Amino acid sequence: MGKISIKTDVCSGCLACELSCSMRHFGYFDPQKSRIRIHHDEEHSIIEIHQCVQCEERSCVHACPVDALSVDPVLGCIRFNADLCIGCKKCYQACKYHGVMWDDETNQPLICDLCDGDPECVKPCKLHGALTYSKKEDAV
Amino acid sequence: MRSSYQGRVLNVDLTTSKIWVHLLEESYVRDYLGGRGAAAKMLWDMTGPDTKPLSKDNVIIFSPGVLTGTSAPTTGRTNVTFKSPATGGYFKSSIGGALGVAIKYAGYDHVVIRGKAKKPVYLYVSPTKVELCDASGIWGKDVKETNRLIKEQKQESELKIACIGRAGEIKSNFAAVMGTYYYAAARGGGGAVMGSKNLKALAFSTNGGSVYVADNDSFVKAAQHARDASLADSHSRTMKRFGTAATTDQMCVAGLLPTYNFSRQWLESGEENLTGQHLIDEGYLKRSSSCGTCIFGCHRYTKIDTGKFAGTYSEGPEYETFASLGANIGLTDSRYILKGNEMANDYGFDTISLGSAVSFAIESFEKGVITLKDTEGFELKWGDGETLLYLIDMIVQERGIGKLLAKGVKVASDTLGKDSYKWAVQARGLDQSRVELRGAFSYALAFAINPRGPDHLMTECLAEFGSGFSKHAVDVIKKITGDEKYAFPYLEEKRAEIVSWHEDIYAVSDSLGYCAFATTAAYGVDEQVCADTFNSAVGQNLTAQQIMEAGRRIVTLERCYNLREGWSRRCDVLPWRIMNEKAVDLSPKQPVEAVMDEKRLGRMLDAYYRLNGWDPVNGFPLPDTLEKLGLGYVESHLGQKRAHAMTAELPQSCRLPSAT
Repeated sequence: MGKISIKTDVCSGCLACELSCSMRHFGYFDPQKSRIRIHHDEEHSIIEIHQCVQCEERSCVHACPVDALSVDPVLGCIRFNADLCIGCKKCYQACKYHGVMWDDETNQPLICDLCDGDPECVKPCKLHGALTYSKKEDAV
Repeated sequence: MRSSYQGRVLNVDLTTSKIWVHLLEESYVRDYLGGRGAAAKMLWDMTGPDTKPLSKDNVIIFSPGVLTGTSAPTTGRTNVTFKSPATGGYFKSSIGGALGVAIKYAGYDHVVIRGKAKKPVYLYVSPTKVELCDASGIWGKDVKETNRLIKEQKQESELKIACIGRAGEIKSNFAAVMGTYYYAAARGGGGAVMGSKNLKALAFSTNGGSVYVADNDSFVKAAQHARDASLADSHSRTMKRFGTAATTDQMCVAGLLPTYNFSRQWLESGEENLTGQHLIDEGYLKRSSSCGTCIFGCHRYTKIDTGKFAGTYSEGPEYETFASLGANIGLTDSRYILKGNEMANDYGFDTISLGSAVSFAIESFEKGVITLKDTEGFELKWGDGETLLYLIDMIVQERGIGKLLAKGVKVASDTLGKDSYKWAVQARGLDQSRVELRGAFSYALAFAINPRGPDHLMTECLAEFGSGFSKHAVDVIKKITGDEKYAFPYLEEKRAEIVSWHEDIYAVSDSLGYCAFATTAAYGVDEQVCADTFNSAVGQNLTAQQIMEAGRRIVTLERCYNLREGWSRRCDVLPWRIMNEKAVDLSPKQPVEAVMDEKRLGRMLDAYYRLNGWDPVNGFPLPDTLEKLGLGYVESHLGQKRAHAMTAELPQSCRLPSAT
């Protein structure tokens, strides 16, 4: 089991996580394709980080009417089956953590899959320390 | 072809409201590395000696780096290029924050603005729409409110906006272009160029758009290597923790901190208040913030919660602001410096030149060149926070002496006369940034050569401080000169080599979008890292040596721009005070007494010209040098000027009473 721990107070708003995520999953850089989103009120330097937090409720999985979402038994992240998805957006609406992004181009959700246990978003955040990856049993 | 640089130029003519796109040839990325280099070539082509900086004929070019918009670390920078109203020459100013990333995602590598709008406008750019919008209701507003109003009008809370404040509207020669609130293309008066065009802002939507690279696998590896190399440098952690004002107090102890308008090199006390540590200790620091993809995060978001200045909030102060609004006017009360910093950012002033105007005014008052009549009865004093805030208000409101000070200390001293050029600490029209050149010889040479004027943002040379700065600094000097003994700032030897290397890597860095702190402070991003990330992003195959040659091409073209304007070796000088006065109060711990006189500077200049194939007589690159760099086209504009370079009348920005 893996988990990305988020510390919003030390996020600098550099957005490298968004770009690294997009490259990993789509092969190009596009913040709108990222499964992690940084919302930055630049005037007051207020930052919110939205990403799947692997909540206990699994609201998105339960909300899906066609079983397109499931829980990965090894990593604990959400798995998405694009072939089954009907684009109803119920998963997106169900997540109270804003951890489900919506891809308007494909009309399908974007949910963190932990990059198969080697998450790209964490790599540029080494010095900032806003994102750290750990095995879930070690996670703080 | 997949490339992070498509050569797409968004053109806007404000006179005709015409908007169009054109594509640049491949040579703009292969030979000029996009970004700063391509913009320098465009400025060369589009303007010239007949272009008045504050006329419709000038252009202002916004150019993110080639790698901006990718995940390569610290590549969020944008070059703002224009003919400067302060210097009359080539000018590139660099802006951080999230602006450049937004320009790239809107689908452009350069935005070129020309002409003059009949009434105030702002430019709105999204991937699907480009339009000029009425800014009549925004004109007169400060930077924060301008951002708020445009976001409200467009109902897009995440717009990335570059704008001017009131400083740009009054066309102050040190008006900045302010990006995403607090990031500034500060120097050279780019804000005045925007103001002269009735252009209040450029607003970029963040909805949509993509950036591709040529070779995904190679690029991801190269970017990760760039990150690892940067973090391996010990200075990266210092910048993260304390920002750019990490060592102000140590500079003071070493006798390297300009104080009292460069007449001294240290403060009697209170220097610890001008540091990043102080911002932490007093609770002012609320967040370390970053430009796009920066792994350091040297920016400081600060706020004062209690007392007389409660509610003051902005980003900074940076080192240069602490030194300019603080040390150089003898002020160590950080509350006033934070307030002055907030005002400067809201009005859109370059804090370096604003501080110069204040210190020049105080010294002029002290010497009786300006009087109570000029200051509305306000007594100007060293070390007085109220003097700082009062003068900022006078300048932005163009009241009394403020109207003249808004033009910068060069124009002010030309107008006031009475030997005031001796304490107008400027050269070529630009106020010197806060480095004590009498104790840092590479910096002295670099500042004398810099096409902008005497400042550090074309050529940081921190490595010359050697082990006093960082271990990597020593390694860099050894790489450049072959011997680490040259990592010492009071030597003339090898300064030409050190400066040239730093100029070249800086040009590469700007063009690719890397922050100069990654290449010339942390030193982790070297020539090879630049070449690897560049090649995999744009599909070129440049060696490390070739990419540095491209850097030299850019530096040389920028030099030639100014030579075409009538500059020559006679302009390669430092401020009068630096060249003619000893620092009178050396720090007790100052190890070497140094003077930067004409002879010493002249010897270093001779070495620099010879090293780079320039004529030592007049400072012009030799025709053969231009040919080798692929700049043969420049010669037809310079040929006539070579012969008369040392006798022709100098441009106003380069004239001093003693030189006429």
